[in-house]
Amino acid sequence: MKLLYKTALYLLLAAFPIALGGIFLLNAYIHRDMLHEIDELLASELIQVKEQLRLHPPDADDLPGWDPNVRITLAPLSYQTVPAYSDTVAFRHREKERSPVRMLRSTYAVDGQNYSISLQQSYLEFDEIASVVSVGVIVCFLIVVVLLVLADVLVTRRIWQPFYGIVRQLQYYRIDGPDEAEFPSSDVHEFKLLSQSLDEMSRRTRHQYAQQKQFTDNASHEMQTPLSVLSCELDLLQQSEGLNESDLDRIQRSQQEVKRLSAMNQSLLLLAKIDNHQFAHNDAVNIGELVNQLLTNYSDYVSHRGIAISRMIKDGPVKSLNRQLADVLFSNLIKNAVRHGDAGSSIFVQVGSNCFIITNEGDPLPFPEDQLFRRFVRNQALPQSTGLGLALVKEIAAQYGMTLKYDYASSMRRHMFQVDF
Amino acid sequence: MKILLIEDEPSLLVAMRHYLESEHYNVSTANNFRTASVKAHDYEYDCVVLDITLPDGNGLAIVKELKEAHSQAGIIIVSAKNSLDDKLSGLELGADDYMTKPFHLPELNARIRSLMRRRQHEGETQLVFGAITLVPNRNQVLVENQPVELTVKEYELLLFLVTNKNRLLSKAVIVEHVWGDYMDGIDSHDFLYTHVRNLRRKLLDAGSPDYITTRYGAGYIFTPGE
Repeated sequence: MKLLYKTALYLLLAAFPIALGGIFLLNAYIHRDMLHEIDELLASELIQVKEQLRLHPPDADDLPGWDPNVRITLAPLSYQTVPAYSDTVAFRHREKERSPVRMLRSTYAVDGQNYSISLQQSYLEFDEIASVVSVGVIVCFLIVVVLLVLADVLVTRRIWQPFYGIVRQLQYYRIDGPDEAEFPSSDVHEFKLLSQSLDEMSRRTRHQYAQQKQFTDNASHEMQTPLSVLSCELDLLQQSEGLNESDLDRIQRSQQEVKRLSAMNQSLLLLAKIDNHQFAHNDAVNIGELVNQLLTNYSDYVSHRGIAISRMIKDGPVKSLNRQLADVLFSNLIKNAVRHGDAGSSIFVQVGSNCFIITNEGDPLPFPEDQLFRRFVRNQALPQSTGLGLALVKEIAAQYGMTLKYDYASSMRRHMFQVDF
Repeated sequence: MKILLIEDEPSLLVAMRHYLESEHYNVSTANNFRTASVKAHDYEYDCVVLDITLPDGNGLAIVKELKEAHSQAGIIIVSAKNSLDDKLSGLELGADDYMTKPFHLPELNARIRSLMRRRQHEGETQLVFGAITLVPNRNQVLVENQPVELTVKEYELLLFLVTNKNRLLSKAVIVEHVWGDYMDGIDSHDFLYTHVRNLRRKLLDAGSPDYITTRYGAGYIFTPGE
């Protein structure tokens, strides 16, 4: 749910209990105030009644019908009380129902007559006014809240526009892209800050990335060039007249070492590049097709060694990978199986929709199993190995969040590598 | 055949030049971008072999210049970077081939020959070596005008041997050329032996003299009789 709607929803949800509580509080408050007003009214009425009694003392017969809200009776002179308020219930003839009333009782002695006065004021009208006012106020409150929330939604949607612009820009952000990313600015301070910080961050990371890329490129150039010189000089030396067999053998072995050094350099650079995430570009790689093609590349060598390859390759799982890395990943695993597989044995290759499995027959690992994917751990029996092939496999698998499993079934003398993608 | 070599590493340039001259090419050299650019403009070459990384510029710019001037020269890029991006952008600009350092001189020679065959002789061409005739356009081999059935790899093997005739070619170099980088670090000795034996037998059966000499432990030499 969008932040916008979530805020609006919570505001509305909060408004209801507030409104409900508000009704009671308001009602109680109005009630208290009205009571005070009624009491004042009764008090002033009492003064008026007393004034009337003093100026025009009525006949005792007249007293009952004077005013339904005013009851004056004669009382013995000895009966004197101070004015007292009380709540009671009175039957109202007009509405024909009982209703709560406020009552003020007092006595008044004038011209040798003692009157007992009781004044009444019905609560009914005031109560109605109180509830009408409370409900009205709360309804207004709710309407105002709804309108405010609506206005907020509209305003916020406008204000957050630059934020979505920044997010869109981030989604398309490529560290190795050709252009410097320009995050949209805004007149909102926070978004401006965010945009500036992202600009700054992108500039910094791009700079670092470019430097690392340049370093690996330079390192590659600086090392491959002397190796090329060495290799070409050896090529020329090999063509010289009068070399005996051991000279040629030495040249040959030197060539092999040059080749190994170069392969090691390439692999280390590749590892560095993977660590630096320099392979940001992905392609849709058809894994079944790739594995088939790689197996074809090795078919001459495989058949030369009398190894039979059985394949169960599903056509297709297409994954988003960097083509070069996918090539290294699967060719290293296949090469590993081919090189370490016993002559005359079999290699089993399976490509499922979510996994790649390759097994080969061979002696158990000459080193502990947990070292298998470490750099420079290699079988000393194979002098040409760089000890980096499986380290690359692990690194590439990790790059794409694939799990890499190894197992050795000693009963069948089979090594198994599995990649789940 | 005129070749322009562009390479900033002096010893590499000397070695390349030496090998190519002994293959009877007419070789010019340039060791920086400026000289290379001037030479590429002023003279016509059949082939330009260029290093991408030059001290004063990017070799790819020369590819661009050559293409803009509608040069007929074949272009081979030699790069220290084994980078797919560089390779693709180089080929996109119009380069014909891309090699990574370190490379072998016989391999460079084979690439140049192959490029020249593709570029210059669109029609029927034949390479005659003693009793053996190769028709590269049709991937065909004739001995005494009779076609010899070779596998793809045997054909490539023979083509590589004849391209670098009279040269000692080590097994690793041959395997790398015919089977590609995939054979890196694979013990190639017995493997190649089987293929050379099959090729030799097929040629002998067809009536060709044995031109392939084995130098034990070192490699093979193809020496056709003149």
